[in-house]
Parts: sequence; C-alpha cells; structure tokens
Amino acid sequence: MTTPILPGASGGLAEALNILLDKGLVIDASVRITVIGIEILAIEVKVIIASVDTYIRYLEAMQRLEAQRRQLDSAVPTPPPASQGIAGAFGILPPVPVGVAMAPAAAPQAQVVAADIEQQQ
Amino acid sequence: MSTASPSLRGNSTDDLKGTSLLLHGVVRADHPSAGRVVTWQDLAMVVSDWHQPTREDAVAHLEMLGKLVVDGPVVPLRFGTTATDEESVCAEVLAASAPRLRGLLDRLDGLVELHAYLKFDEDEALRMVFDEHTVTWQETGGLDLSTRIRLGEKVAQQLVTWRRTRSDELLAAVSAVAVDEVALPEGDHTEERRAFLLPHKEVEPARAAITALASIAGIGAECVAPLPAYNFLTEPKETSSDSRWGW
Repeated sequence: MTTPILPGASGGLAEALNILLDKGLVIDASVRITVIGIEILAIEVKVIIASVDTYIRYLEAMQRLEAQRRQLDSAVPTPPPASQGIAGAFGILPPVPVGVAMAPAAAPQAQVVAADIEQQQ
Repeated sequence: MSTASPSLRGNSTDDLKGTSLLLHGVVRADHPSAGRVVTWQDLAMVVSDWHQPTREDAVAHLEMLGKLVVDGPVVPLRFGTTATDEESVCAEVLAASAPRLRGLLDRLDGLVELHAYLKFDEDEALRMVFDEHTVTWQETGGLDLSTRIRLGEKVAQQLVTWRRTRSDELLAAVSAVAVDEVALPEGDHTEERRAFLLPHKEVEPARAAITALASIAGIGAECVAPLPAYNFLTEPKETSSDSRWGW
C-alpha cells in the first residue's frame, strides 16, 4: 500500500479518499494548468518494515496452528486395527488354537499374553 | 514528515502565483446541481477559488463529486489541479479535449462507482489457509530470519488467494449487476477492496448486500457510493499520438 492516511475524513470515505487521491483525469504539464500532489515517500518505508513484521507473524501463527493440530492428534486415541486375535487382541499374531482360554484384558496386555503363549508352544 | 499529516508538494506557493482556480471535474453544461462552473459550449468545469489545499479540501472535493454524480455524469480531475484563470480552463481543457470529454460523459451517463471494502478476521483467515494446505510448519522454528520471512511471505500469498476467492463468493451479487469491476490497490492481506461500475439504480441494493455481509462472523464490510468513475476512465482508442492527457 502506498497511499497516505488522511485523517480529515472518517470510515469508508477516508479509505476511498486514500485510494482515489492520486486518481482522476490528469492534464499534462502546462503553464496555466498544473497539478499539485501528495507526498507519500515516508509512508512507503513504513510499509516495507510492517511487511516483514507481518510475514513473521503469519509464520508464527502457522506454527501455532501446527502445534495445536499435533496436540489434538496425540490427544485423540488411535482406533485399534481390526481384531486379529482372541479377546480383542491385535497385532500380528499366530493362529491361536481353538479352546485356549485367555482372560479378557486391555489390548497391550493381550498382546503380551499372546506372545507368552507362542513361546510356551 | 508525519504519516498522519501528508503535505502538498510539487509546487511552492511562489510557483503557483497567478493561480486562481482549483478544478474538480467536468460535467455537462446543463448539469442541474453543479455549483460554480466555467462553461464552454455543452461542457462545464466545476471550479472553486484556489488556496493552498488542505486535507479537509480533499474530503470536500470527493464529497462534492459524489453528490454531483447522482444528477449526471462527472469526469473527475486529479485532486490538486489548478488553473490560472477561467480562460485557460476553456482553452486548455474544455475546448482542447471536447470530443474526448464528451465521449467519457456519454459513456459514464447513468453509471456510478461503488467501493466495497471487506476485512476478514486475521486469525480466522489464517486458520482457513492452514486447513487448505498440507504443509508442515513445525520444523521451521530454527530457520534463519531471511528464510522465515520468505516462508511468511508464502503464507501471505496463500492468504491473498484465499481472500480473493472468498470475496468472489461474497460479492457475486454485486458483480452480477455491475457493468465493470476492478481490484483496488492492496491494503492488508486480509482486506479486499474492489470498485464496481454500476447503474445508479443498483447502488442501494448493492449497498444493502455489502453491508449485510458484516453480519457474518469474522467479516467487516463497508460500502462507499456513489462516487464518480475514477477507476473506469479508460481512454478511448487513440488514432493520433499527440495526446495532451495522462491517466
């Protein structure tokens, strides 16, 4: 943005004025017809500085959102894959003989139990 | 120089000795509500006494032209255009470019410019951009400043793309009745500014549609109209190269 801020107006009109101040029909240089302009150079420098600050702010916002997403992902338990074993056990299990009794347990414990059974066999 | 208080430059007071008129815009000579004018045949230049222009004068200039365009076409002049006397207005502006001015007045008859300013909530807009892209941002923390700036600039570009697409959707009803439209100079990345050239009768429905957007969470909406067609002064096709005009 290279347009100056004019506090003589308010709200949308001030914004329109900032946009339109350097627009309109211009008559080429003439002895009797002249155009006087508005100084804007000082503002352009400020805009460049503001842009760098803004870019960093955007990047930091993205990093925050990424952190939030990861936090959210880790807070939600991953649904276990389809049961492949006995009593809800999962993982790569060898076929379990029919008739082997196993106590109902949480998934990780069931995996251990299943491994123990395999060793015993 | 303070940014809040721009000064006028280009001509010192000494340079402007002999200047007596500030020129505002060209209208038809039979324009019903033009105030002080310098008339030449069917054309008239709206003028006021010259003095060193102030910010308040710039506001008054725009307000005046906005009122005039309701009653007839206006070709706005760049604010700060001055003339030494009425004779020079007739000879160097109106008579010298009469065909072109008449062409513009005819083309703009019944049309006005409307500005729509949309301001999107930055947090909300960034979240939308984040959700749209599958980039991983977690590993960027240890990068040097120039790389971080470049990545931030990329986010800004994505933000602008999202904003334009969203604005297309929100302003579709205004676009549908507009004769023409242009994007106005960029402000913040979350601010959309557009100018529409509309039939005068469409201004109020368009204003209602735009201001209604402000009721949507995360969106600020403002409408400024009617304005003279500053952004639609397309020069008619030139056959000669001796133009006296710049745009």
